[in-house]
Amino acid sequence: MRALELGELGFAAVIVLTYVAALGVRRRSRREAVEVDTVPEASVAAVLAAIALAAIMFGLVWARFLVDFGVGLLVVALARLVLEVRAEREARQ
Amino acid sequence: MSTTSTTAPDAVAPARIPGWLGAAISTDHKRIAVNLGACAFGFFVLGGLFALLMRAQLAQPSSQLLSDQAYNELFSMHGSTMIYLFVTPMAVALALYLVPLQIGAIRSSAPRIALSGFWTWLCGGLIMQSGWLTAGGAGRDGWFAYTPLSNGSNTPGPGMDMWVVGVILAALGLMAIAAAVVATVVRRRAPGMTLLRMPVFSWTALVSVLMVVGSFPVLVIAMVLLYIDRHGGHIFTGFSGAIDYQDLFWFFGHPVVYVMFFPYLGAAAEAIAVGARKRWFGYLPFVASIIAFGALSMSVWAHHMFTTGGITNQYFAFTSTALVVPAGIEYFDMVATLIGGAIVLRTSMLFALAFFLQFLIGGLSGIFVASPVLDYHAEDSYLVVGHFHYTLFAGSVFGLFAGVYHWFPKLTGALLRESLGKLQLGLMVVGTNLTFFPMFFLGQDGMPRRISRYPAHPGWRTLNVLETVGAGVLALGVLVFVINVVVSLRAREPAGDDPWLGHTLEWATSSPPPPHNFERPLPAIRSYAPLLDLREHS
Repeated sequence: MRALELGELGFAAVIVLTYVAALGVRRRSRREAVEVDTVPEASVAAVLAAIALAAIMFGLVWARFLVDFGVGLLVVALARLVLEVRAEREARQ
Repeated sequence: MSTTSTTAPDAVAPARIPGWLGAAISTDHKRIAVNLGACAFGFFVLGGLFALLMRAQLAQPSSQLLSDQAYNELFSMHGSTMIYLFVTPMAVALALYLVPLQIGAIRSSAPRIALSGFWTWLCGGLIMQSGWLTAGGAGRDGWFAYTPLSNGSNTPGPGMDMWVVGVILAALGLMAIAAAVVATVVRRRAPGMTLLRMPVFSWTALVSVLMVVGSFPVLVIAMVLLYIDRHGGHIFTGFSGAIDYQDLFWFFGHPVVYVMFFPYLGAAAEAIAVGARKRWFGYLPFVASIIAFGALSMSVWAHHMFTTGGITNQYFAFTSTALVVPAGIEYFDMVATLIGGAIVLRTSMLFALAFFLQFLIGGLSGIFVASPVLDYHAEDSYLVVGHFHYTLFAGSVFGLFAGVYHWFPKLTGALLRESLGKLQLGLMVVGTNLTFFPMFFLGQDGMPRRISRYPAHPGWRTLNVLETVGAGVLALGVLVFVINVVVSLRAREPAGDDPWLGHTLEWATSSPPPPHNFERPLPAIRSYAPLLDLREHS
């Protein structure tokens, strides 16, 4: 029991320290003079992901093939999202 | 830190696509918010039709217009449509459109998440309504789906499953949009826009979306567990199972009442301050009261369960009654803003005043049902129906229309017709009070809610007929609004950038705002009313 409590305490300490470190990194990055911000104007991936999730959920109730369709669509949406994010990163550079 | 913006290359992120497709996949927070608001209004009309059918049934004590099951489906889908698909998403839509503009942000944070949230919510709404097409009919266990009524044995069939899945998707979608609004406030405020310089509406919207993020996950959990329970999971079994479900549901169900109130309160407050040509009185106490209101509202959920015997009534009666303190501050601020103001009685101002006056009836009747002793008498009677319709319809929907008349010129660049607006207001005030005020008398006299036929007690028929007539007048009021929008968009009266001499930053940009919100430099931000500061200094 004592070992478990010590483990929990250690885990909590790690979480707090990680959070503090993340805050420190963020503050340092804020000191940059100019941050280039890319703004996506449209996102097919976001729409496809939502429709995929809905197809999976609806498929649970209505028809199994919709679950399979939804999973496939989700893969397409995620692939598309990767391309969109990569394009944004290139635009930033 | 300064920020420059660019757009992602056309090769992957599509260039601006005109028309419906472009609007459907746009990540502009204004476009997403308009889409969300328009779809939510469509669901409002649908939910209103359900209400009209119910009122037609109740015009006669033993009407045979609807079967018992059809009536159960109608009141369940009316409540579900209004709460999950109209009032809450409309509040989130207002927040998504206006908060980035009011805090001087060039865009919202996490635009893809917001866009995905809109589509998830819309699919959820359509799935919920598609239950009507199934053989067993749509969900019929109220907007709360209490167990054991909603388990697989008592409510079999795919219609109820579609309701559960629809609620899950709608809640997930709204959570995503709410998270985007929170992130926008945290990360994208303009230089000088500290938290305590955010406009009144933005504060009400922020607290509202924080409550969405805090309480909606519990609804999703409750619905997932209910789905498993309905398919042989045996999760909510026995007395404790029923109480557990109610605890989970109302931990979402009460905060959502304030999600459906705060942004409309903020909209009415903005309309009153601008209409009175005065700064909103008592900004800091107002902000503190909204935060206290939000915190308290997360601790009152079980006042919906006083009569179950499964909770500590004293605690929840205390926290529920304590809500009158922040509410009192808000009313005090409203009255103090009006005193000494150069009041212009535009439609937005009149709707805002009606919001405050009618919500007062809902609030005061809430004090009665916050007392367990009185609640034992009022529980499951029409008194409760009257109470929550005075808060949600006579309150929130009037606040919404105050906001619509106030910000429509900003959204479209065109003014709504004032004469039609005042006609709509008159019809809606008459209709609202004719529909919902008799419910207090019926409830006090013992008429139960959720019944399709009632005994011919003296006076019950007359009061029910009055309510049915009132519902028809309300529908006329909504029709006048639709006509007003169509007429105003077809024969446009240009509004200009700032037709009301507004106080906040959204009035410092063009109408409608450009894709990146502001093309001119922002004025210096020294308070929650920077444009009023500018006018006073010049």
